[in-house]
Amino acid sequence: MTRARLATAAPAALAATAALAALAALAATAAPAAANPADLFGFGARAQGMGGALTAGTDDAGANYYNPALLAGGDAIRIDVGYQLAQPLLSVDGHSQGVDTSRGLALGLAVPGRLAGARLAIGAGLFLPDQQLTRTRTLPSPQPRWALYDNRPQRLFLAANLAFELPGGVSVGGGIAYMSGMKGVVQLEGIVGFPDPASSQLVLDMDVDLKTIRYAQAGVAWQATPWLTLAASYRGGFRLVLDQTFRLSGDIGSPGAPPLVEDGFLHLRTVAQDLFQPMQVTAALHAQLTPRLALGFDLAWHRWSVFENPAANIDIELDIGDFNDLVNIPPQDPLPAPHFHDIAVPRLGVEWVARRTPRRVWRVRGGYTYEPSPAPEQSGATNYIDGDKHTLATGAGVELPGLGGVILRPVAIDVSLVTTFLPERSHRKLLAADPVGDYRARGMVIGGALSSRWRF
Amino acid sequence: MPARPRASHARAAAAVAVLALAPACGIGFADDTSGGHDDLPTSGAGPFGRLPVDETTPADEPWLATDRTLDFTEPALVARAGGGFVYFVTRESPDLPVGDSEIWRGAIRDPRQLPDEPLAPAVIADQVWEEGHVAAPAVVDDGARLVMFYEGGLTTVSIGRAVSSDGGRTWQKDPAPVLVGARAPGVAFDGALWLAAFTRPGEDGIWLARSGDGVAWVVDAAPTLVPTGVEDSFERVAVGSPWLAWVVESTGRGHWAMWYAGLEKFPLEGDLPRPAVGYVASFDGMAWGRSGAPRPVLAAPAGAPAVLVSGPRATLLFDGPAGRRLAVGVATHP
Amino acid sequence: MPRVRGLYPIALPTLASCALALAAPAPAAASPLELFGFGGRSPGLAGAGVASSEGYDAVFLNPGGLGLASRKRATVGGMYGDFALSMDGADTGTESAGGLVIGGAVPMPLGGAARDRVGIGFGFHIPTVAINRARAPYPGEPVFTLLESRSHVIAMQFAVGVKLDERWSVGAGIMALAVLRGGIDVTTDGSGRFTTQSEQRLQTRFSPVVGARWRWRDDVDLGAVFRAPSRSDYDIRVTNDLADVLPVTLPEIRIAGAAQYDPLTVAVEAAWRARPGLTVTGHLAWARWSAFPYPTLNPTVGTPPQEAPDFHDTAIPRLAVEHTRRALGGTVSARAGYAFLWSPAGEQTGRQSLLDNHRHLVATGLGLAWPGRLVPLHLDAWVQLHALVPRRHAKDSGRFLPGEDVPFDVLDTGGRVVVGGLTVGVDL
Repeated sequence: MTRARLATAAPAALAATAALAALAALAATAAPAAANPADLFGFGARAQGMGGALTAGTDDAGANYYNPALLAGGDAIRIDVGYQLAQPLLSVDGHSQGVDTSRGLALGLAVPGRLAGARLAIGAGLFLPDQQLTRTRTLPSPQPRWALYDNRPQRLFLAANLAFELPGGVSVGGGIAYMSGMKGVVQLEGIVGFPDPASSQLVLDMDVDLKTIRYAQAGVAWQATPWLTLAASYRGGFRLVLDQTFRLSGDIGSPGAPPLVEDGFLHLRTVAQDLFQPMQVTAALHAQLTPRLALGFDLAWHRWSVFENPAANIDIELDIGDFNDLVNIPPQDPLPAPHFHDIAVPRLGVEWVARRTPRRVWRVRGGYTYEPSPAPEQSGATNYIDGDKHTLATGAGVELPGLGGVILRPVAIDVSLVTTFLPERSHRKLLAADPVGDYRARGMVIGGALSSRWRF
Repeated sequence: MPARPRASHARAAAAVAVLALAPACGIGFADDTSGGHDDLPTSGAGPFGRLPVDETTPADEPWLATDRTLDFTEPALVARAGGGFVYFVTRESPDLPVGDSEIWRGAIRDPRQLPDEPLAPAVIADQVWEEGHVAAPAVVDDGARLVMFYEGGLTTVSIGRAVSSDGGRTWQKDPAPVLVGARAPGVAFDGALWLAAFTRPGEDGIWLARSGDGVAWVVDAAPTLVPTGVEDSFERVAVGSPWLAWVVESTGRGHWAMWYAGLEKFPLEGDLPRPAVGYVASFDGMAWGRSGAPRPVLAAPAGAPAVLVSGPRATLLFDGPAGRRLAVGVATHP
Repeated sequence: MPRVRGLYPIALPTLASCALALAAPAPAAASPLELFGFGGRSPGLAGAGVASSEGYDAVFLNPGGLGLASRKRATVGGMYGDFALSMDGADTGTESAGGLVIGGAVPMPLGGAARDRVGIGFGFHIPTVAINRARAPYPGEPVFTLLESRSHVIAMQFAVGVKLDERWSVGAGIMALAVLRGGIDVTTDGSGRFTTQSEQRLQTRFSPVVGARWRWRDDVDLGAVFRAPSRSDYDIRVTNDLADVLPVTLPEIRIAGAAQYDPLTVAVEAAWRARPGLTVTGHLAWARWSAFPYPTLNPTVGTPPQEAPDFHDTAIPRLAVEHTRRALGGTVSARAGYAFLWSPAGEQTGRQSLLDNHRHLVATGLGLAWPGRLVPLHLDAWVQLHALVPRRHAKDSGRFLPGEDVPFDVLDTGGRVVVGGLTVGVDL
């Protein structure tokens, strides 16, 4: 782009051009992330306390998750720092599965600015688990697991966004969140010890790349009236694909002795999936009904129907000479389809200014979410345990006008407590010989967050 | 309007920042445990794995009943009040070609430990029709007592019945066999119907018989399970040693479950057979089926299964070669 | 010869996760930064900038510079490098390296004693081909161990700087790193079907960077930075119990090593404004390469021990000059630099063949800036030539057992690397 063109272009168009350029640049990159911890448990204490109904109403760095368009509002640099925790208490037939806690640091950054007269902002959101950045887990296809809670929250969420304001009270924003897939070859060469495997002498050759999986997120918000904001957001879906080849080649025998098998090999190629996230589209409104009372409502569509069986397919090629006749690997049935379906998720939240003084503003919040299960009754060969979810949320916060003369803009401290109930659901198998059999599943998830929101 | 400088604010802010940043700096609750696998449901269909050898335990995994001079085969087991299980095995005669065989009883809380009650004779061949041979027990807890069905007799192999009111230590036998021309029983009771599975000398397959009282039986006209004859099938040439259970699941629905031994090929003379354990089930006791392709739920060599499904766990006893003798081992799922 | 083929569902690929070693979605090793520098300006100065960086590139060069940041600025850009490495005159076919640079520097609008003193910054280098790569041949096979794949790793850095007074500023930052640990148990179920329980955990490791800036005289700035070592490790244990289906028991296999490694580095620098618009920079860095780890560990306990890499510490001098003047309605900066990159690897006379050469680094760069305009742009472009000093490695037969395979007798290595980049920054 030439300088002359820059000088004559309309400010909003320039901002849009810059935004698109940056997004295009981001789209060309790779970095890790996934949104599931936030999908399941929300992002930040204010959002949690309002049941996550903030696609049209977030006014902090949580917009990096809920709606990037809302980053463009305000002139202050916003930094959110918080810690949140969710403990699933899930059981099948009265026995707890010990599903892991999701906990970690929730960070958000929004840096506003002006470019060619137009207001814009860049932002980034990060949920950083304190147990591990990411955990991958693959299980045999029929093994029962709490499909939405077993491993999906065990990873970080990272997204970078850009937003700008258009005339007419409209703002748009978007960004990229990332995940990575693997592809590569691991080779082992040498002697496989026989009869004593401990005498094996193998050496290692690795050639493995971490490839990029990108997914987009975007949002739009319209300040329809001074008290009403309408908004929509889009969050792309993705799946992590692990495509790996393992080659073990060499002789079989004792080191130093003539080999029993010369130049044998085992080649193994596996393709697996993990950490699925459905595409999500949300329509929302945020209404400041009175100076004290605000209401938020989200209606989201989650595209679970494309969820595939995450177990791995394995292609094995084996040559161990005279031992081949003793190999007895049975053929394998195709992986059964999970048959998940799309779901609509309504969220409702309210925020009430309980008390306002020159030095403090106290707020209380509440919310409700209903998330139907995308998983059908598990009557066949799969056992993706899940149930409908009713989430009750409550929260409170205090806002200070500043701190110590150093921080000159408002600082807010928020706390939230959420409880998700999964009513009992029975799964009856079609086959009497099903290896898992019938079962009843139920549970609850208790979570909370403590957040601080800083403006500079 | 900016606030006046106040040290307390700064301290509060610092405290919040430290608390919030601590996890990111590795001061969190990082641990290496991972959950989600505990107490998953099972119907008892396996697959089963033999107890792994553990040098730190007093048990001789996977074996539960083993001896240098005696063969222990054809186990049975029932849950024991207070935990663990009571088990019965056939103590084959040490004297060839044929001597008296007996049914011995033991009890154990954890198969990785030593038995609480060591093996001791519980049923001996004291009836004329038994001809010195009692074996292959199947034990059912009908809620008030234990009912044992067992194989007896040599010239005319039959199935006898006995009851125990002291946890299987002593038994009162019916004077005559309840099923004649039948052997290796597996029996279950759903509260109204008694179902027996057994094999018949000289005939292929596993047969079923039904009874309202466990005494008078009506035998099906045809066997329920026969060898497949299919190449590479684990049950190509023979099926036998059935074990039946009525499994009531958490939804309140129950089904009949049958574990049995299948044989891919007959052994060469002097060799031991290498059976594997298969599984079929039925909601009504009439139509039996598998889940997926016919594969063993416990790999060879393992025969004469007996299974106890208890909540999220299933325990399977089997017999197989242990050194120069036959022994009874333990496999579990998960 | 008969073969057994089939398609089997399994939990996680036996070795698939070994791969995860590198896989760390967030792992960051600073290798491209160590090789080429970071940002749009510093690479054109042959990696200098410890005493003069005040933008997002200060998160790597010297976080103390962030305390001097005066405008919010967001920057994106890219780089591309072409490798022509040779062994005995034959090209190694080393893959080119591309990467994206994203950075931001924000002066924090605080009040009171902190007013105009604090700045924060972040900087990402994101490779376009693979965000992390582990390539390590069998021990003994010759490989340019420091050049072959080290440019393929993501780097994520965050820092804060504080201006203490008009002469001193200090800063600190972190590089986010990852360590992968896990296990895979390959076994069979009762039906003889392959099945696996696997779990891998990517855990966080932070590598700190601290630095200080001192305005010694009005025309001389001094800077010093300390960077802790950064490495991306992996350690996956593969156990198995396949006795039911395979007549051969496979050993326990450990897939472990270091996918990426950059040494502890201490650098000092002086930037002298010889006259208005002209800055001459002298830079000296010490890198603790002697702690260089084994690229891969032995996968089985019975494998004979590897010889240690035996790298040695290095000192790296850099000299750079930058001339800035008003032109084209803004400012134009011309940059040039030279560095001698002393190889930490000795002659490979033993079983290891971890090749590396001394390098002459010649760099040039151009910066254009229009601050204060309607669209306040900052453009920076740079090119580096790394010329490898030809080197000969001769194996010492006395270090091998009789009959043992010797990877080569004599090997001549050389080549060059050409890399360039462009960044675009906007004041917000």
